[in-house]
Amino acid sequence: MCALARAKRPLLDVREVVLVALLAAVGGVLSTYVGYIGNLINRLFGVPFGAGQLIAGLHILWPILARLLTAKFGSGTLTGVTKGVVEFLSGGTHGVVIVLISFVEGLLVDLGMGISRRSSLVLTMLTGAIASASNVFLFQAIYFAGVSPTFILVMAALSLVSGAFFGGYLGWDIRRFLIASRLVPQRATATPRASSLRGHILTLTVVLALLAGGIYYYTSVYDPFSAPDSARIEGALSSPYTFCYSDWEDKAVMVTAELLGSSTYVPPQDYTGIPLADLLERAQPKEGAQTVLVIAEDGYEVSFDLPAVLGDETVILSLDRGRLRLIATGYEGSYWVRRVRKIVVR
Amino acid sequence: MIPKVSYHAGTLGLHRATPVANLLLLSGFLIVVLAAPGILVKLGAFGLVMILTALSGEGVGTFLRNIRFVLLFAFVLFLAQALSVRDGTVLFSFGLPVTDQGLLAGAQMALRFLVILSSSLLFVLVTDPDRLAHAIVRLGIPYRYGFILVLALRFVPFFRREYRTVREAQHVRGVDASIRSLAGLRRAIRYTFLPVLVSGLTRVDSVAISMKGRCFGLYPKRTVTRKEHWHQMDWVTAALFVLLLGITVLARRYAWL
Amino acid sequence: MIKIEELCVRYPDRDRPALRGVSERIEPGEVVVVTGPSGCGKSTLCRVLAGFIPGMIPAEVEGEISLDGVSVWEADPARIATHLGLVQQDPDAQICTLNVWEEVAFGPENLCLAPDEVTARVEQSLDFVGITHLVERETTTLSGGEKQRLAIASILAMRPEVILLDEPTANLDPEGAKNVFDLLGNLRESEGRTLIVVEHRLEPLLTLHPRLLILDEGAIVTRRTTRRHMDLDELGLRAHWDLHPPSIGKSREKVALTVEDLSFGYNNASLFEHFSLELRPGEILGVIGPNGGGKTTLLRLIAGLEHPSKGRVVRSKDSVLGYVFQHPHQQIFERTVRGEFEIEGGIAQERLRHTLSEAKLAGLEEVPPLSLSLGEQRRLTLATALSRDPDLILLDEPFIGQDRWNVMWIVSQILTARQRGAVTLLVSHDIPLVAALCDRLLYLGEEAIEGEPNAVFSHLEAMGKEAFLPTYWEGMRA
Repeated sequence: MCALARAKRPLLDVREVVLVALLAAVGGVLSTYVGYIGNLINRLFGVPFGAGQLIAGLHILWPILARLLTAKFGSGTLTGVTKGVVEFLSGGTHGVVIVLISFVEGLLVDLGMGISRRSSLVLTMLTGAIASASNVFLFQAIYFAGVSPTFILVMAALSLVSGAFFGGYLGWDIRRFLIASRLVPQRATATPRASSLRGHILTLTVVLALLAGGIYYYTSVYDPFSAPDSARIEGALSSPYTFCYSDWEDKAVMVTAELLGSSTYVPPQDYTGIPLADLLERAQPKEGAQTVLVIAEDGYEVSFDLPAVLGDETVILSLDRGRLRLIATGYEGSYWVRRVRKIVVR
Repeated sequence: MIPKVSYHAGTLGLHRATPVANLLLLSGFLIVVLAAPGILVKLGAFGLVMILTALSGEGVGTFLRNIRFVLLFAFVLFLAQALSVRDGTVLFSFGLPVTDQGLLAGAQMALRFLVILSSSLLFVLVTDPDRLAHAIVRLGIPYRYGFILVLALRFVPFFRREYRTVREAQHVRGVDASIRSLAGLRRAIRYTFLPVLVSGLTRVDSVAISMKGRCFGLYPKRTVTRKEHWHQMDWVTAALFVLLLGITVLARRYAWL
Repeated sequence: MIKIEELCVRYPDRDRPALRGVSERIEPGEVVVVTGPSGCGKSTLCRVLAGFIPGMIPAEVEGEISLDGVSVWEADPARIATHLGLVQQDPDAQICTLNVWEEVAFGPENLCLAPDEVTARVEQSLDFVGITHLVERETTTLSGGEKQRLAIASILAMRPEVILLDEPTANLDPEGAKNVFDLLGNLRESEGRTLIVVEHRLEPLLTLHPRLLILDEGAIVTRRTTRRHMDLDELGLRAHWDLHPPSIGKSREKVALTVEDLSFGYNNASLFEHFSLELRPGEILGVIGPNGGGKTTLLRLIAGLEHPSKGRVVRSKDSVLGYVFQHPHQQIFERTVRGEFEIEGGIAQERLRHTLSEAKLAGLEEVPPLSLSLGEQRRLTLATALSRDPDLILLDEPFIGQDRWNVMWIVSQILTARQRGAVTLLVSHDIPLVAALCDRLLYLGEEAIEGEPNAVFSHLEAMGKEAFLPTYWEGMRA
């Protein structure tokens, strides 16, 4: 039997629970229509899929409206996840994956709108843009490994713009219209604020910086399908490949090196690993290639002179706690890259 | 690509399992295709989906016909992947070189897509969404939020009707809702989204009054009168989940193909 | 006992108060019927009595309401909910679960009652309203009348001493409405509960011998205990229409609309089989019958929104269609009243001003249409549909939720169009009104019956369809 203590002051009151449910249901039902418009646009552009990202922002509209009409953190996520379940259970074309996509979109709406206590058009549009673009990266992570970064970036850019307009701007506009039509009380919604330019520029810079970093990391470094002890070797090479330490173990050599960093010092000791020169030779660098970049998981990169490395058997990739680490004998500490994920020849 | 799949009542196979048991099985399939490497395991998972479809009395042929766009898209995924991967030994070439690694990567992606979609749609086919929603409320998540799904599903048929009526009203009033330009797109969206949204908003007060008038949200918990009891089929389903989980662990440990 | 003292309610962005200085005492076991024109404050009274204003719907409130001596604004919500239950107008907008059993159990489960008690209450409530056979049905598959009985059952499961019903039959077809009225009689007879009913149709409630309160502009203007039908005539409340529309004459032999041997159905369930109909210019055809009988589908077939599986609909190529949907917001697309007329192909400034002042919407050109009252929205949608001078007018339930003045305005528009020779198909549940207005009636139910109003009624009487007879609404005239 349940205790008769009263519920604590909840996140959403009953009216807001109903509002979230209705928005999720409208969004779920209209997603079929959005898919239909998407197909029209694809046909207009003469492509099988992709141009539909132009209206991806329409999926963000519902969590954004929930956020704008309730001004409560969490309403975006709840709307997103419920909309996803409605689409899934209606036999939607993405299967159960849409629940995850829609959940992340809703969560990003909550996070984005949560930056400032008061909502503003700029913030709403930015939030819409980012939440909308997330679908491209999630789909890529689940299905499209190895698709060219350019393609992903174009998709993401389309989705970003779409999210800003069909998610953020349209949401803002609809809210204004609903208030003017007295369909929602002004009091219950987030109060708009006369835009303070400085606040916006700050928000904008932070968000753009995060976004740029995120996209860079995602497209150039992150690869969800590789083993932790592997690195991608690519660039001006005749046969690029993915290096995996366990396949090369028999070629390992031992070197003695001393780490001289600006703040760290490790006295000379023995390291076992595979010479970088051997790895690069297998990939057959093209004529005219000059440098080799070694890039870590977090985006950190250093550059070496290619001919120098090719002639140096003491620069090796070793295994350090299951991750690749560059032991750059004779180079200073900052060249010793940990958690190597990518090697690019130029 | 719109597969026409929706729940219909049945008495065979997974139809007899409770919604929660079916949900468990679906999550098993997701774990296998997302966490287990190897093509054979994924192929096996797809085979299992087909067997379960047949055992649930759904007819594999009809099911495959219903998801033909999914199959087509899986093939497109396979081609795209096979042609874009340059690593490995070149097997043959027509314009673009096709390598052994490319074929493998393509098969991986296509199968992953296929298993996620087919198991999702099988779940939709055999699981009563109403029972699922009520079951989720009883599952232990705070009922105030669990009920959002019940309410949303409750209003799906209403919004489908409203959507149809609004499209018809556009037609009758001679509203140009075609999409030939960006302005046309904006107008089509506004003329369709707003009326449907407004019909929803005009109901918020009424629904909220109906719920609050019956003490929804007054106490932190509410009585659970009807409980779903697990029967034979639910245990079978749960066993399949454990099996899928076990295969995932083994496949990862021994790097099955 | 309910005591209301000097109650005033004002909504935030409205100029006039919704209720002003209402005082009333309602004794246990009484039946009180509240009526009045739309916008008179009836729904506000219901919502404030049940404690939803100002708690959930923001408004300024003055005065006092007490239930058995406890103020509504200070009382425990569970106490109010188990004392006073509100059944609302639209049955579809107050059901919040997916099947009948869950819906009735919803309240008791929220009250944390023991499972046995919940089960017992569900059984009793369903039995009382007579829908025990529907216990495992999905709520979305019920008819309007069944939904409203379900809504009443779910309120009964809370065991309230007072039941408030806000226009419980407004959205129902005559049969559904009759069932609900019969149910109110049972509640009165066997349970002895206090009933407060807001209604436009008063005749079916007379057998309950209610005390009548008439509200106008937020205040009670008349109190009366009704014992005789004469009372309604004195008060001008009888649903009686004395229209005598001018005859269209026999000279017009041309056929304006023909439906030939039409067959149509949804999912193997046939709605029309070899159905034929001919309408001459100026004719007004009233379409009546139970919901689901095909009334709206007929309009949709004629408008070309559905295609018959056999047969055809013939109308002249240059004929202009005016179609008014049941809910105004479904066909309001623009952001200003002027914009609504521009969709219909533009309208001269002078004519727009004239049309708006005719529809009592003068000066509202730039106002968002959805901010208008329901009555104003209805007049707007009809005015826009008529702005192109259609010669075929399809009206789907235009009178729902409209007060007498609005109804008369709509009727006058239909009669003006008739002078031009326009054909009107009018779908309505308001039997006395269609009986007075229409040249012919079409009943769509288990069978299609078409003819002069009186011929159709005697046929329906022979079939035992008393809910569709005008006399049912006007009381048994001795």
